[in-house]
Amino acid sequence: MKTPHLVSAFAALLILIAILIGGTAYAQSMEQRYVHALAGQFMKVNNKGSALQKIAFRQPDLLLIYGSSEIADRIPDYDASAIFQKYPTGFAPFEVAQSGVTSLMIAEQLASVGPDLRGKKVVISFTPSMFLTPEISPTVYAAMFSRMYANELAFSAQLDFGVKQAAARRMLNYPTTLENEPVLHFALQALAEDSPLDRALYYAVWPLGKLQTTIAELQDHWNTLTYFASHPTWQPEVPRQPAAIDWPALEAAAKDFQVAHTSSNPFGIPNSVWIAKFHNQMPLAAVGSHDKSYLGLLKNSLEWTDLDILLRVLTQLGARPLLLSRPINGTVWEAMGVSTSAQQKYYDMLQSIAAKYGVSLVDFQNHANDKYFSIDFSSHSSRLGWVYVDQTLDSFYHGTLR
Amino acid sequence: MSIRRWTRSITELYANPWVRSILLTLYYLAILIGLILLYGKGDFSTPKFIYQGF
Repeated sequence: MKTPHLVSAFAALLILIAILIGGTAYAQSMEQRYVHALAGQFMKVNNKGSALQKIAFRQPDLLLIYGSSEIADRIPDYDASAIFQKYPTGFAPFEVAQSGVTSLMIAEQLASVGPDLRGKKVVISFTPSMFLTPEISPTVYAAMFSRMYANELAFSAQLDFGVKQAAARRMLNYPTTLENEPVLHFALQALAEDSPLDRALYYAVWPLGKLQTTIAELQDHWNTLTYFASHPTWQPEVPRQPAAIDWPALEAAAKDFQVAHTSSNPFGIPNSVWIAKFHNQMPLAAVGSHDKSYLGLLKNSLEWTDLDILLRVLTQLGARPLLLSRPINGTVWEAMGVSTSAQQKYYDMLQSIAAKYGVSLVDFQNHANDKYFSIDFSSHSSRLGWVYVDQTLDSFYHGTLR
Repeated sequence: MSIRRWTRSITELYANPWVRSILLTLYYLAILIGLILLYGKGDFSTPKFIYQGF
C-alpha cells in the first residue's frame, strides 16, 4: 500500500461521519421522545439552540409561541402553559420565550428552524413597550446572542438575498457579538453592501458558513442530550385529559381576583406591585402632554424594521403566523400624559404592517381601557388578560380565530 | 527474554498491512474524536435575567 496514512485518515473520517450521523439520529429520537413533556417548561436550552424547536414544529398537537416577558413571566393557573397543560382541547403550547427578546432575535431563531416552519402555525407574542425603545440595547442583544441562530440566518438557503441583507445591516449594529466570528462577520459585511463584488464574496464564503452551521447543529444536539442527561427524573409521558374549558367561569374568577387584589389604586395594578413600584412614584401628567415624545419614540423605533424583517422571514419560510400583541394599558398611559389618539398610532402602525404581509393579528385594542387586563404599564397580562390570551390561542390553533 | 519475544511479535504483527491500516485508522479516529471532545462542545450558555421592560 503506497499511501497507508492517507487511506487510514480517510477511513477514520468516514467512520467519524457515520458516528455523527448515528448520533444525530439518536439525539433526534430522544428529542422526539421528550418534546411533549418539555412543552411549557421554558427550557433555557431553547434560547440558544433550535433542535427541540424543529422537533416541536413537527408535532401536530404543539403550538409554538415565541415571545418575551409577557410569556416568560408565569401567572400560575391562568397562563397558557397552565390552562393547556393536559391538552384539554387537543394541543399544548410550546413556549420559546425569554425576557427582553425582540423581533430581530426571533427572526434569527426562526431562520434557524428553517424548512420545518413551512405550513406551520406559530405565534409571535409581544407588548407595545417593545416599540418604545430606539432599538434593543447592545448589552441585551449581546447577552442573548446565539452564534448558531446568527449563522443560520446569514447562510440560510431558504431566505432570499434581500431579507438576509436587511438582517445583516441590523446585526452589524452590534459589533461586539461578531468579534470572535470572522466568517459570520465577513459574510454579514458582504451581505450588507450592495455591489456585485460583495455578493460574489458572500457566495465565496457561503460553503464555509454552511459548514459552520452544520457543526453548530451537531453541537446543539449534543447540548440537548446533555441537558436531558442532567435531568434524569424527567418522564416522557404526559397526561392528556380532553375537556371543555369553561371560559366564562374562568373569566369571572380571574376578574374577581383582580378586583380583590387591586384595591389600592385606580389603575388595576396589583396591590403588591403598586406599593413596591408605583405608589408615589407614578409620573402623572396632563392628558396629551407627553404625546409628542411618545409618538417620537414609537415612530422612530428600529423595532418596526426588525418586525418587518421577522415577517419577511416568516413569509419566506412559509409559516402561518399570528401576531399577538397585548393592549396598551390605556388607563395608565393616559394618566402618564399620553392621550388615546396618540396611543391609537401604535395600533395603526401594527395593523398596517400586519396587512402588508397578510398575517393574522390580535392586538386586543378593544381591551385598551380594561384596567384589569394588564398588571403594569408594560402591558404584562393579569389573570384576566391571560384568559383572553388563552382563548385567542385556542381559537388560532383550531382555526376559528375571527 | 519474554519482553524481547513480545516486542518481536508486535513488530511482526505491525508489519502486516491490514493490521497496520486498522491501527492507523484507530489512531486517526482517536485524534479526531479527541479534537471534538476538546473543542467541539460549543457555547449554548444562557444569560442571567435581563429585563428592559418587556
